[in-house]
Formats: sequence, structure tokens, C-alpha cells
Amino acid sequence: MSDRSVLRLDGVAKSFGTVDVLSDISVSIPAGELVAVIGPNGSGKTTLLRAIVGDLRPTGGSISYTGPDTNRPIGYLPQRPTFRSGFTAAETLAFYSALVDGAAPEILLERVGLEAAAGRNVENLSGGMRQLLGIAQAIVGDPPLVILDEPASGLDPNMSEYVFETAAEIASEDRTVLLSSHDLTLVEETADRVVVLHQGRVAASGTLETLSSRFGTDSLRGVLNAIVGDTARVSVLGGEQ
Amino acid sequence: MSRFRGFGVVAWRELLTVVRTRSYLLLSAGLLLVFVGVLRVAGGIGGGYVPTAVDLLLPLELLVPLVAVALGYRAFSGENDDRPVLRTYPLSKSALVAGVFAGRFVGLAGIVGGPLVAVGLAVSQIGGPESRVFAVHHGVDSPILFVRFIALTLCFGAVVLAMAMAVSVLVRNSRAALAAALAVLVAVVAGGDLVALLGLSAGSISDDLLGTVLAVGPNAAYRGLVLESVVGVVTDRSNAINVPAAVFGLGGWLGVSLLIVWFGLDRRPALLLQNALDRARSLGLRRRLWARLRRRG
Repeated sequence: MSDRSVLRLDGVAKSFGTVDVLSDISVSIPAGELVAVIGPNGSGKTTLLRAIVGDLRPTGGSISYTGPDTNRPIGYLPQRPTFRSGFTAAETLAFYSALVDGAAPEILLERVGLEAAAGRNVENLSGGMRQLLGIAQAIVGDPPLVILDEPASGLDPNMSEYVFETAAEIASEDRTVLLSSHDLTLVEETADRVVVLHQGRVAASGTLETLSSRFGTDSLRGVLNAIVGDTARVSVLGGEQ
Repeated sequence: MSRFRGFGVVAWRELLTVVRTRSYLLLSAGLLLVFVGVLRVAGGIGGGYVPTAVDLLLPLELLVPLVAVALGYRAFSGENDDRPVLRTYPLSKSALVAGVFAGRFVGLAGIVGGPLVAVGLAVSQIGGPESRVFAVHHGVDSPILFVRFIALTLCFGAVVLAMAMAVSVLVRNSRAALAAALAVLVAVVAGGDLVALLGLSAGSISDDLLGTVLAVGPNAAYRGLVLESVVGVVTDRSNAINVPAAVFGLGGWLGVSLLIVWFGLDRRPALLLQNALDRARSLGLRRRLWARLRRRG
């Protein structure tokens, strides 16, 4: 593990009206690691990632990027990436790349294994290809921190594995990857560190070994079950509001 | 990277989006067909540029807002909304707003201006000898007047485009954007005239003030400026509208709409409104609960 941190969150809170979605989130993300944020649906994973990239303004606390000074500090793949119809995959990347004097689209597509689809219109890409295009977009300009919000959502097992391998490769290039996922097996295989969110709070965080020994279980599912408890009901923050 | 470069990259993407959307190109062909039909029925084309402009004025008051709304209402919604991603790039809000507006405006200029230029070329072939005078004199028809007419039409289109973009940035999804855009369309096409008419019939607007009040609505301001600076030059019958008020009105709508787009890019207005409603609802619940507890003693 590296001593350097690339991102620091101190007491971050986010409320929508009277519903507190995030409360007192304090976490430091070390540089050069793959950090996974896990938690049940509605635990605040996407809200947290959106707050980090500046898409949502926290109602409390502070978020500080502490990585190297660069043109584009954070790359981001949203949970539901949007691409304009009528543009090819290469043209789509060329647009984003032109904003930061980034690499040529062909190089970016090659890094995610999508070079064969360079000339294909984005509306004709499969779900997995769209996610890979989104990851290629997230690494435009070589940002030190890459945030991927459920990159394997809705993909078949092979494509999910490939997406996680790609994320691990990005992390191995001296970059930090912060991703959220529900696929605990893939998280176990690839993540260096895990942050568990429950009801908008950090319920636990650390390496897989730390979490396993703390909760007396040998799997992430066991850790999550120990934290969440009753899984027969869906927990809804804010009740009926 | 300079701010200007970001503007150019965004504007080029918007223009390509317009060019690659076939329905937008069909709009242009449809406009040309409508112009041909109107001019064939009204017969102004044989009379020269100014009679042609007079014939086209009324249809354009409806069609220009229609095209502008079609181009603007999804500028920041649906698949065109990649603001969460763009926030991670060194692109200023000003460059984004200016780029989206400029790119879509160039598209609008092509869709509306193309058929109008075609009509102008037809007038140069069909119109009378007076129509070939390249000068602006009182009582003399001129292509310069038609160029002025096209320029005013495009300015009107720019204003409604900015209004539609403002709506696009404030609403949350494409369906709401369509409904809000239709409201803008109705307001632009009929709103100003309706307010002036109601004020006149209620006696709250005097005849002296009518020209100024009309100038506040984008549609009436456009109509008034065309009557004043295109038709009025030839007929020598002007004073249809308060010209400074009309120019100020159009500029005001454009400026305010672009400011709304600029502020609304973070969806702050919608979010603030939602938060305020949530808090008000919560406060109302607490008050009702408190009142019930007090009644129980």
C-alpha cells in the first residue's frame, strides 16, 4: 500500500430535502490502488461518487483531491453513460480528447480492447461495448484518479470480468481506480481495498484481510451480511418521503 | 488549453449533431415547401423582395419558433446530456453554454436561412426590375431589404433557441423537456400578443403604450422590426412598434435565457426548488402534528 493519498473526504454529508443520503463520510483513498465501494442498493454509493466528481454538491464536509496537478485530475464513468447517436466510437472519444489534448481515439480504444469497433456508431454498440467506451472516455487525458460507477452493471459474466480486468490494468498503470459494484466476487478478485457503505455511512473500510478478520468471515458477502443484517427487507432512507 | 478552444470543440459537436439528425434536415425541406406554397397562393414573389417578406412574415412567426424549439429543447437532456462527464474536463461553463448555443444556432441558420436564400434567389429571377436595385431608398424594393429580413428572422430564431435551451437545462428528463418546450412555443407565438390584447381590452394599456408593450414579446418584437426596417422602408408607413424597446426586448430575452442556461447547468434551480418543496412539506407535516397534539391537550 502507498502512503500517498489521491483523495480525502472529511465528514462529507449530502441531503436531498429532508432525506440524509450521506452522513459523516470520512475516508482517504490511497494512490495507485483499486478501491471498491460496496453496499446494498440505496446505501449512497452513486451519490458519494457523484459528489466526488462534482456532479452533486455536498451539504456538509469537504472533498479534497490531493493527487498530482494535471489538466484532468479525475476521470469518470457514470452509472448510465450517455453517448450521442450518429457519432462513431472514435469520434466520441476524439471530442473528449480534444478538450484535454489527450491521446488519439485509436490508442484509447486499444487500451480497452475496443479498437475493432472504432468506426461503429455508438447506438449500434452492445451494452458491454458501451461500458468499455465509457471506460475509455474516463481515462482520456490520463487522470490520476479514475472513478467507475458500477462499470459491470447489466453485463454478462465474461464481459463483467473483462471490465474488471481492464479496471485492474488501469490501476496498475500508477493510477487510482475507485469503483462501485454489487459483484462481490469480482471485487474480491481485483480490489486492493474496500469501503462498505450502509445507510449513507461508512460501516467499514480496509483491505480484504482486515475486513475478513474483523468480521470473522472469509468472504465479502459475509462482511456485508454482518453489517446489513436483515436482508429480507429493503432499507429506505427517509422512510416515505 | 484556452477557453476559446473548448468553445470551438463543443460548437462543432453541436453542429455535427444537427447535421446528422435527418429530421432536422427534413424540417428545412418542409420549410421550403411551405414557403413555395404560401408564395404561390399569395403571389408576392412576383412583386419583389418586400412583398415576398410580407407574405412570409406570418408563417415565419410560427415556423421559426417551431424550428428553434425543435433544435433547443433537448440540448441538455436525454442522450445529449453528458454534463456529469464534462464536469471532469477543463471546460468552463461559459464555453459550454456558448458552444452549444453557437453550434445549434449555425444549424438553425442553415435550416431556416437556406430556404429563405432560395426564395431570395427566386425573387431575383421572377421579381420586377425594381427588385434588382442594390440600394435602400424609400419606395424602392431591394435585395438588401430581403437580407435584412433574413437577418431579423435569424435573430428571432436565436432568441427562441436560447429560450428552448433554458427550458432544456431546467427540466430533468426528455418528456418534461418536450412539455416545457411546447409551453415556450405557445408563449412565444401567442403570449405577447395575448397579454397586449388583454391589457388593451381591460384598459390598463393605453394606445400610446401599445407599441412598447408589444415590443416586449419576442414574436411581436420580430414582427414590428420587420414592418419597421423592411416593409416600412418601401411603404414609408412606419411606427408599427417602438424600435429601441423591440431591440432591447429581443436582446433581453436572449440574455436572460442564456443566463438561465448558465446558472441552470448545475441544475441548481430545480434542486433548490425541490429542496424548498420538501422542507415546506416537512414543515407542514410538523405543524399539523403539533396542532393535533395541542388539541389533544
